[in-house]
Amino acid sequence: MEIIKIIGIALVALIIIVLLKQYKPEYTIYISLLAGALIILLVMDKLTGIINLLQSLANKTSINSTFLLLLIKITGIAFLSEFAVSICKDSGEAAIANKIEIGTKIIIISMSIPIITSLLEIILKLLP
Amino acid sequence: MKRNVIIFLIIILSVIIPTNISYSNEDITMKEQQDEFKIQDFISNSKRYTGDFFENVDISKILNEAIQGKVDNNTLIKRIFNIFGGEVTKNIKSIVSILVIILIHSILKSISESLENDGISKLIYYVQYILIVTIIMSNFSDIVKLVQDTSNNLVGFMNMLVPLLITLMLATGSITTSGLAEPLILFTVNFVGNIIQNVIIPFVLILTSLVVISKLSDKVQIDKLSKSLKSRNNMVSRNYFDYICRCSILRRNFSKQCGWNNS
Repeated sequence: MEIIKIIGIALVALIIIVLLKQYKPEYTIYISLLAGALIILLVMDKLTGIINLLQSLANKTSINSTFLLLLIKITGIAFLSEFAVSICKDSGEAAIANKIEIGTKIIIISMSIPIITSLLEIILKLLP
Repeated sequence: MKRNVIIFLIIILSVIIPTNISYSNEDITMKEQQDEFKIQDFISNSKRYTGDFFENVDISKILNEAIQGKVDNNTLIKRIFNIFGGEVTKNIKSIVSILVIILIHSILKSISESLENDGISKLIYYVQYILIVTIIMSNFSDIVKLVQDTSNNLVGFMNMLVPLLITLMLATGSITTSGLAEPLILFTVNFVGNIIQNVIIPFVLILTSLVVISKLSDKVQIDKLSKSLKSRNNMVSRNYFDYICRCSILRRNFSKQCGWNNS
């Protein structure tokens, strides 16, 4: 039961953070980071299962697996950036969080260029 | 008296003088007719258009049997069912791949929608949409190519068949049919191909491209143009189908009135 583990980690981290805030508030960020990393590690197995399912679905049909891999990568990048952005916001560094968001958007757009190009090529090929 | 002598002489001469009767059997006659009408040329040329329909079938054999009155419908029906089955299987595969794409999209969408950042979530949705459209459009382009090839084959085959068919009809005495009814139906078939190639397919392609581009962004909307094109395309298709039906009915009624077999 991963959900119980996740809830447990989150609650323990919360209690530690609440306690630490009174004495050493600068350490709370480390606890938050550790809890986030642990939760992500716990969910990783399930994420691998989802990715395998998507790949097996794509292999059964004539879907281009390169594009699907790209899509999964983009989703993964978005998740990691979300994780980083929330940590930055928790630490009160909204400016850095914004920079991460902009960087993520640029990376996602640059990664999706092959997909956009292929769509444009197909449209141009279709037009008489 | 003189007339009786002449008749008697003719009978005697016809009995005495050896006559050399040339006997030609059925096969030779048929072969001569085939050579005369250049049917073998037609068969060899028609292989360009029939594709894999007559891959393992001897067309000459079927034709020879048909001339003798033994029309082998079973082979043709089997081939038609085979091709129909193949097409259905191909299309089912396309539909399954589209369903799988939608399934993948829904899984990824549910994952990406849980993101707190709305901007990144929208960007991922946009990329997913483009990917789905790309995959569906590649299937669509295959279908359009198939339609174009079929239309080309139809027109090319009919252009090749018209001279031979009219010659054969004239040879069998169907002068009015060859003069009016058949050219009408043949013209219709050619017209069908030309309209599909030059009007309907370009319309559909432009329409599809406009719809795809229109759906890419909420800001750029060219829906009205695509809807207008769609209605015009529907109108052309409807009128054109109506024309084909009218031609077929006209030809059938004409043949019935003339008392001919409506084959």
